[in-house]
Amino acid sequence: MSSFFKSRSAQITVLIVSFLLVFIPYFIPWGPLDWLSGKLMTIAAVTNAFTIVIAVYSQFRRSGRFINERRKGWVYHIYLLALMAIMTLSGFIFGQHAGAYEWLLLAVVTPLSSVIYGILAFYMSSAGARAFRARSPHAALLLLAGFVVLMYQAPLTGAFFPGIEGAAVYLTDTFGMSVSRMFSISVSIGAIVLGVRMLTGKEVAFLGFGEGDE
Amino acid sequence: MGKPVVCSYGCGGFDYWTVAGLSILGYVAKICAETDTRLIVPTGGSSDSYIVREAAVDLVRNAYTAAGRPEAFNEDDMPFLSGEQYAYTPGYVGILVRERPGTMVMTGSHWSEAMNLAEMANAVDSITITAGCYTSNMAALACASDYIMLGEEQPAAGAYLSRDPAQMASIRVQDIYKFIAIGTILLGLIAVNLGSDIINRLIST
Amino acid sequence: MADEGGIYKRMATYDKRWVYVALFIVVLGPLINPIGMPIGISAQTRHYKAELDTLQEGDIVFSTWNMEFSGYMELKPGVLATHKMFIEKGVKLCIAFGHFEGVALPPEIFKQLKKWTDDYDYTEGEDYIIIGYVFPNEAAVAALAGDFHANVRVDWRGESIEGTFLDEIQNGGDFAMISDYTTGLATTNIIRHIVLEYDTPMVVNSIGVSVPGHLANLDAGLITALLASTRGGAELEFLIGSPGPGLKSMDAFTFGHYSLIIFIIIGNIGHYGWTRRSGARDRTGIR
Repeated sequence: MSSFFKSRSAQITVLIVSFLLVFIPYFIPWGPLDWLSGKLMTIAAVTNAFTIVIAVYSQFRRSGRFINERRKGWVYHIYLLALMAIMTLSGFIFGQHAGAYEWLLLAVVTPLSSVIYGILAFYMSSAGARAFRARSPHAALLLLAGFVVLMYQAPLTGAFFPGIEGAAVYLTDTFGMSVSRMFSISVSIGAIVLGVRMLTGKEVAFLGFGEGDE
Repeated sequence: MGKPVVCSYGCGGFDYWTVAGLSILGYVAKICAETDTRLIVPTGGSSDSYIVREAAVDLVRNAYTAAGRPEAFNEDDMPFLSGEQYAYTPGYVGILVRERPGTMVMTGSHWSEAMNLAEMANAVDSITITAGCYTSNMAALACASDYIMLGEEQPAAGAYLSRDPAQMASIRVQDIYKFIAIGTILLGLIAVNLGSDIINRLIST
Repeated sequence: MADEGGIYKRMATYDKRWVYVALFIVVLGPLINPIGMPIGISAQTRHYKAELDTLQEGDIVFSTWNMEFSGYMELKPGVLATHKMFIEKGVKLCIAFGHFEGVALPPEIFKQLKKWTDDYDYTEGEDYIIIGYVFPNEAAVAALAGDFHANVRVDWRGESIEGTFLDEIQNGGDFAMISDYTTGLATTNIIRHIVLEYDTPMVVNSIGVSVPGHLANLDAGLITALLASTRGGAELEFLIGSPGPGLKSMDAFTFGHYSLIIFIIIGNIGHYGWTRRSGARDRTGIR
């Protein structure tokens, strides 16, 4: 029985049925189908949340293996498991609004993620300062456009030269927006084609199958 | 010579970009197996990355096996760094700084951490090959990388390198749909200028 | 041996750490000692404010905080200024998070808004309800958009939302507006499953790098207004007459941009004076 559910054809059948249950009600509104579609999406949302449980289990298994075999960096795996346990237990014991969990979130997690995000500004600046060279006519045009937009983004410039808003907005609303639109169209088409490949069984890596696996 | 290669396939789940990233990873793994080059594949970055990691490990293992060097495959060189983006980033940066790879190939769907990684790879003198899949970070990646694949160049590269008939057919179908989209846009442009919004109404939700 | 290239070589090959140091100094200085330079107000921000001005007392707004705490640092001026407007107008808020770090945001945000919540007697449970981290993925957004109460029964503290103003919400179309603060998490999912399905007006406060992508949505009418990053938030603070963290940081913003322009100019002088003659190659993807 379990081998049937693990088989490629059974999983693709589930995929197709799920797809149709969400796809058809979008175009043909019918009460019972809408209800079923809504229930399926709720089930999917809840099931997805349980992947976190699987992730925690996988991490404990993997880190346990590293620690047992004393592989390179095994001490950091003890540190990782200890922190995971502390965060999980403090969340369950104290709740998310008080105590150790809230302190760890506010004093440790959020400042650390803010630092990584903040460093981006320095990296973007150094990359931009390095890359914007008028080494060819194309690069010179790009430099000119970048210069106008960069000047506009500095708030002081708009206060003294209001006309720069028109130039910068023109550049972003024509060239910038057309690129974004082109990109959105391409990505959407690609996603549709990928979906069709998945539904027809041509792309099965996401189900955990390799080539030729049944 | 003698330096490792770092190749990542993205942080996302099984989406359009990750499939392309995995194809490119498969090719890079094959080259590394054939040339006895150490391949490091940092994994993680989101909660969906747990699922993709298994496919990536199989892919790299199969590439080494196909090259006749299964003993060279080392799963420890595919570390799972974190399921959180901003915890994955410093782990990846640490790998770049410690290992000082000769080349970093960063494909698939990378988000804001892409800039961190590309710039750090540049700082350790790696040849940086990236793929920009979001308009938000494409411009910055183009500045920081040595070579960049913009948008659909990445799935096209993945299809070309993998020689998978389904992927190559997908690229062809996408091109056909793009021509249809261009035709519809031109028709709409003409119709609007003639005072009709029929095309607009046909394609609107 | 003479240093061939001289000053031009130095200008072309300056260490990037000088950029970090300069940026650090020009940003930190004005933050410690604000100068109060003028700023221009963009048409985009004026339009954003005009959209918010259409709200009436009692309207229920879906305030979706699709940001990590790090993203909040950039969106803070816009978040605070927009919520000040909501409080002053007496709008009811249903607040949802798109990231688990969102749970750290309400204490921080409402601490900044304490004066307004006290003055206008704006209380949790009566005027705003936080339903918590409900957007882990697209399926969750779609489920909530279709049937609100089937998917959300309690607020983030576990208290029932029955008997509150959220009884009026059956699906995504019952909200008067969606006010989204995004680093790019569930925004596209909200547009797909709520805006396209129910035509609910949506205003977005986005980080700077995501603005080009959202401009296309704005032009297509999918979102009705866009507030761009810290600068948009600062402009909104000025328009509502409530200076805050945005306006305080505009001097640093200006100096940071100008310092980058100066480095670009220096690099280009060095490029023409040395790099082009020496045949050295710049390591960048821009040809």
